[in-house]
Amino acid sequence: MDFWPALGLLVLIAGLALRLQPMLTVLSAGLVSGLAGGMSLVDILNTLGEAFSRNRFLAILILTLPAIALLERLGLREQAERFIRGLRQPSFARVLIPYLAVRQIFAMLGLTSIAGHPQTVRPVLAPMAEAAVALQRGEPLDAETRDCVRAHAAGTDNIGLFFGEDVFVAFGAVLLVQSTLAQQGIDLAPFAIAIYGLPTAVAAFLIHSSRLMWWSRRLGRPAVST
Amino acid sequence: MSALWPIYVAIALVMLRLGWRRFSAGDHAGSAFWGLLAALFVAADWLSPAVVGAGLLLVGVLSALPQGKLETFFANVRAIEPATTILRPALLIPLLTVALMMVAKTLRWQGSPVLDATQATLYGLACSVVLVWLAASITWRVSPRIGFESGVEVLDRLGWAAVLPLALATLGAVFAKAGLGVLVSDLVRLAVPADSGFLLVVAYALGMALFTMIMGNAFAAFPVLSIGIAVPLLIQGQGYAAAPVVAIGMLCGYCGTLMTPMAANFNLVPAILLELKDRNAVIKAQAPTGAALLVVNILLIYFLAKPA
Repeated sequence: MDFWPALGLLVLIAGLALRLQPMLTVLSAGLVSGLAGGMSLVDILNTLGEAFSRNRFLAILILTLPAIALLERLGLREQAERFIRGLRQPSFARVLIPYLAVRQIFAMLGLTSIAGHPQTVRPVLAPMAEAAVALQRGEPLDAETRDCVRAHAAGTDNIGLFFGEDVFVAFGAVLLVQSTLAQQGIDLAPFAIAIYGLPTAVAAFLIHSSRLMWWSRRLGRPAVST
Repeated sequence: MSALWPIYVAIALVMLRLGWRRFSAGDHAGSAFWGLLAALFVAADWLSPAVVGAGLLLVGVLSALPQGKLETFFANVRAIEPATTILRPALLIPLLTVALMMVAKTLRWQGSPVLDATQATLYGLACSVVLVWLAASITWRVSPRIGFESGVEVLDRLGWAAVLPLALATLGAVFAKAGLGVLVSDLVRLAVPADSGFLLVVAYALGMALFTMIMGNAFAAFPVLSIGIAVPLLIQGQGYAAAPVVAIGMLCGYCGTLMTPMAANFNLVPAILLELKDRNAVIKAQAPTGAALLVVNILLIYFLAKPA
């Protein structure tokens, strides 16, 4: 067995653990892994360049910044807060659990791009969740709590997306499963594959919403002053 | 030329503006970093991949050089009365994204679709944020420059972190070519006795999650582990029902996606976008759900697929 390619993984873990510059760590890990795996330098550069060209779309968040920065300067966060203040007994869980349910259902219908980190989490969901926690506590959030609330808003969006889209028949994962198995001589209808995504989807909702309720109680208590 | 080239040019414009402002502020390393990235974004389709790769390494070196600080333009804009209807354009972003995506999907040239589903979504998002930026500027009578320069300043705060996901994606590609995938599947097969159905299910499920965590993508893990373990040992060897094994097996990979920085698009990009101090905060928030769900998935595969 050839263990050499794993050297790049070690470089990555070591570099991140030692808090070296992440961008440089990642590229060095690529170099090491490629060289240790027997690739030539030109091979590695080619692979890096091709992957860069193919994945440029990941930087699309940069294009969303002018719109989001403008809306925030015009008072978006204040408005999201005002909306939450208008609800009866707002809480962290009462903002995020309905969002999780709606996100899963839309994803099951194939409407995945209706929500996402730039589309809904930063401009709407995160400010609302922050405002709800601030109202629960009766005081403004410290930076640490604020980051925790935001991280949960982003995580809830991911979980809603992942464990919804798989139940949609025309989704890429279902088709990949179907074609991989067909190559092995096992024919499955896409519908038969998609339907087995349902138990996991339900379990994901139950597990994650109970965690959100737990966090809601924990985050809702005012910070202990010492 | 990539069908997404106009979007790359638009991204490059924001980067170029930041590079220019850094240059004016006397920070040459930062200016070179953004300038070179912008050039790579625009020209990558025409350069040889090796040149692009070398340019990317140079960008990595530039990112490690110390950088200066930028002044804020339009610092007084905050004084504008909060616009009471500002939630509307914010909700318009997702709705427009979906509507435009659906239009983009139907575009045809000589009978074949112009854009695939991913590209249509990216165009939907790109057009909707540009439209909302312009429409909000007009509605609230502010110069569009305020949004643009504020966006550039947010990008400045994000710095190299804004393109880290891209660097991780290139690392995933090198890992795959260097043979890390073969190594993982060999290790999994080595560790598992082929006569215990339950242990095979556990090995397949954990292997999917682990491989996905290393490669950052469940789609890369699925064929390797399904052809290596699930089909020969579970489905053909033990008579397990195929559909539940592989359908839920894929979802085990998704549990891995929740727990790794290599899935940068889902886990690092939001941490950057939400300006979290801890880049791994999103992973920490969702990992317990991922782990619990992995256990549930193992049980589901075992009980739904086991031959009677």
